[in-house]
Amino acid sequence: MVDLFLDTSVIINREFSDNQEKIIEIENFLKEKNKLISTYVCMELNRTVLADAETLKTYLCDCMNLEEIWERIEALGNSTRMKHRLGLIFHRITEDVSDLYEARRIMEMWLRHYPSIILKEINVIPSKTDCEQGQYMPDYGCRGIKSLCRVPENVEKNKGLLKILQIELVQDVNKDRGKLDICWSLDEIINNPERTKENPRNCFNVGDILIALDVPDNFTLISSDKDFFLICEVLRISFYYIDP
Amino acid sequence: MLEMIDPWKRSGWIDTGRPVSYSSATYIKIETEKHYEHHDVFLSKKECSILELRNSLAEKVAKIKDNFGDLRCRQEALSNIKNILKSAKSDFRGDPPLFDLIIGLFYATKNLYFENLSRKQIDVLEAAVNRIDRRLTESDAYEIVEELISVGFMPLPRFSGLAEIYERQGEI
Repeated sequence: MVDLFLDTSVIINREFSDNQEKIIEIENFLKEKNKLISTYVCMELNRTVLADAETLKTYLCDCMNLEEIWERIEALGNSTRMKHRLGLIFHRITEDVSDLYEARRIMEMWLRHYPSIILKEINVIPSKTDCEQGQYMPDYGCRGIKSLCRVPENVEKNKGLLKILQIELVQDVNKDRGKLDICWSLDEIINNPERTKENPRNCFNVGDILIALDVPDNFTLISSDKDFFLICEVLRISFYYIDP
Repeated sequence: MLEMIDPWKRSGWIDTGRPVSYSSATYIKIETEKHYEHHDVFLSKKECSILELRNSLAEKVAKIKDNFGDLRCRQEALSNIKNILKSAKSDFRGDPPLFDLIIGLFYATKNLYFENLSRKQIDVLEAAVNRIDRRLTESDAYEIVEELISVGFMPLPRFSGLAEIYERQGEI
């Protein structure tokens, strides 16, 4: 059996894409394979999908009717990332419901079954980062310096490879300006690993690298994120790209 | 002709759990044996509705099982199941565990592409329908919905399109 380590993008696309062909392609590829993720991937899922669903639940609990919720989501303004996410989840939840009670019940059920929906036939291993947010904690914000995270130790241990990766990424920045944030964060983390906890944003920016460092030996990392081509090449990890 | 029986005295009766008054009771016929021996009991209106729901769903599921290769029959029966569950959602709001199960079954059939239905899935669907009962607990409903998920059903709304939003926002 082939052993696969899944990136967050694969799970999110499998469960939440509106492109049926893409879902079928991913499901067919994953079928009858040994699938694994780390708790760092869980953290990324919790920070996005679960946090958005929990936020909508608070709207469902606070408001008197569905119209009021929609008005409040609309009021968030177009620049807010949350507006589009909450709007979509709200739309999906209320498509076949008659009133607020039903919508609330469905949202609560969705949250109760969230781990099973997300982790269908997927095993979870502890991340080398020991990220607390990957363990279904109700708080989705990083506790910063108070957290028990082991990103500094992880960075220290892989400093050599990360420096090579940094050089490669800097060369790539000219082609892809999106990598600039990753370069800045990686630079800060390499030079001051012990200060990583002070700025959780750095941790999120280099999330792909931290995920790659969690891949066990002989596993193939699978993702629909092209950034992993370079990361996996430098870290000598087998990689399979799913074209989104 | 139906014979009235005293469910508290005769053997073979179906335990309704509590005595019911004539005003709130409905008289129905229940098949308890394979050779169709009838035992007639009093059931409350709610219990009758639950039984009716279970029987009508079981009938449609059996139709799919018996004609598994017939895609048109499968599609028609699944569509009927979906419609039955859609109206049942409004009838059983006062019974949270049953309501949860109905929601789970409704979305499981709604999110299913009939051509992809497997024999294992139809067996699990059948088992889930057979557990529709007034004594259903929250943990029963949870367990059944989990079982549906484990065989590939999506018994809750799909947040389709969320992946594309995360992609645009650079989250994944």
